[in-house]
Amino acid sequence: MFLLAFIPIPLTAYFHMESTFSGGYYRDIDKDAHVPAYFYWNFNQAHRSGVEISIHSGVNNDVVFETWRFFLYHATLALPYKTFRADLGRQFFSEGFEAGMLDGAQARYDWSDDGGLWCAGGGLHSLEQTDIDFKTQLYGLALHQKILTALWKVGYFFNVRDKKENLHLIHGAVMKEWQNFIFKPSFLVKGQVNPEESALTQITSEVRLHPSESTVFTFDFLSQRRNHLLPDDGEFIYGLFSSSAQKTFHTSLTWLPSSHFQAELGGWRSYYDSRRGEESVNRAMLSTSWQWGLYDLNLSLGRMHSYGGRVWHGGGYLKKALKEWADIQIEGSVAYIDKINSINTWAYHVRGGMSFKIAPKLILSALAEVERNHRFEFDTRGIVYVSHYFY
Amino acid sequence: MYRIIFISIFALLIVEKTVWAESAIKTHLLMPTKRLFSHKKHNEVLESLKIQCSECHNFSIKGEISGPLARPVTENFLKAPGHICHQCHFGKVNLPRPNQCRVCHEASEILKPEDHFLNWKERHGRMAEMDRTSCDRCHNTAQTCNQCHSKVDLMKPKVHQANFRLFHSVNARSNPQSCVVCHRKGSFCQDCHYGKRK
Repeated sequence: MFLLAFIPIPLTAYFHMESTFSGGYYRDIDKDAHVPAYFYWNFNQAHRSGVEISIHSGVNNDVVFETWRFFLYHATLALPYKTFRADLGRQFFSEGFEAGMLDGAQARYDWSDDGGLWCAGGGLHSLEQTDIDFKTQLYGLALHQKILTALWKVGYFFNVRDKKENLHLIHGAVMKEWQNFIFKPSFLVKGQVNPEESALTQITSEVRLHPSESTVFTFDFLSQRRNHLLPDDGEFIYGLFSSSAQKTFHTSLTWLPSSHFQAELGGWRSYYDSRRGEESVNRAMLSTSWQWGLYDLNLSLGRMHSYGGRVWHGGGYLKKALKEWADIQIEGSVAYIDKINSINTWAYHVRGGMSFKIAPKLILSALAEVERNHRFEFDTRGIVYVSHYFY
Repeated sequence: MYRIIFISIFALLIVEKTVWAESAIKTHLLMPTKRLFSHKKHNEVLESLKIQCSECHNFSIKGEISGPLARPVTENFLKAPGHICHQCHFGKVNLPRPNQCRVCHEASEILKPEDHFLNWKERHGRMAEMDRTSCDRCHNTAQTCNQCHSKVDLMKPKVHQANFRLFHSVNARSNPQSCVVCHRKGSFCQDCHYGKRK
């Protein structure tokens, strides 16, 4: 099937095909051998009229452990007409404070460069679910329009669960930038209201300032609850820890002297209620990214402190182009963990290898990975990654 | 001490004004424009978009050679300016590819707009919702979102850092909302915690 995907299909319109295979070999802590394999095939074809077919699918034996499963994660027919576009089929959905997979339709109509309408309807499910079902349905629309140089947005969702429970949600947002004002400030405020509770259920806001040409200061706040639209069992992990909305304050200073170099220092503080009372969390991160000639270097250093414990972690990634058809890459990271369950240890991870451009659009990567932590004294795995792009 | 700080700031300013500025000029095209652009392949599309020859080949680019009376009309003189491709590829024609900048630009990292470096992993969702048109200029949004939101590949992880397996519990407790963007079912935890994955 993988080789079949490389066969070029004679098509007369614009199309793109991407086939990737990744596989590896490793032995687990019980010395049992495993061979995870992933195969993904993306196909997009656009006719000159703009009608577009997209199919993104995958087969692997690792998302559901040691079980081969087929995943159809995107299959749409797009029908555009002037500034109208309708996407029918399975697709990613993101609006308001929600994100998920939608089996249905999304449509967009822009009446000008400054305004438009978006609407969606169909069965909603989590990103991990592969079956088609319409137990949870969503219908909604959103309008956006630029008024007084600010972008305003308002939307409404109607959610049906198992044909029993109905949920109405309204969201609104405003975003504005002052490019000619001192420090070029900009802000974004977005909120969601449940009219039955008459309460502001979720809110996010952001302020950005440019103290100089190459520095940006950002401050944002997010108060987010569990996803209202998904079935009750759809947010298992969130329910394990939090019983309230999670409030997060974030501030960062970014230095961007050029498009080749960036550095950012950021800090987060979060609060939420759990079964043991109010919990607070601190996170800090320093990261840099540098593209210089044939080199691509990324470095990061972070600290995290929650009820679960403390973590200091740092790492780097270096990629160097050797020839037009070959590059070498190495990444390494180290972490010190002091967990509540008395695990105090260092962890190391190194991954390195080479990528070869065998043909103009066929890339083969061979990588080796070494890991050492409280479970593995010395764990290694080999990875092969093949990507083929056809267009 | 003050002298060291002063010299450091001065050195930093020099680096910012010279090294960064010089390197920013490189566009990292995959191959020379002559080879990137094929008239034969573009003719039909240009005709359908009613784009005429003079819209690309005009006298806005001036040749370096001077003649006795006027500049001679050389091949170079009529060369289309490099950025002319963007006239169509930023809006009129969208190619069905995850990132259409990569059709011509090899190091597409350096073409990222400024806000993509500002805590972008956490901010991109709300910014994309406010202004989807901006995303569409470079990305085929359906494909780009799927690359991380739907496509799971533990052989080539794009979202989590290395060593994440060891400190995921601390991270989950520090930001539980971030886990449920992708992982919503209890079976995901059980694979490891009930001993299937070791």
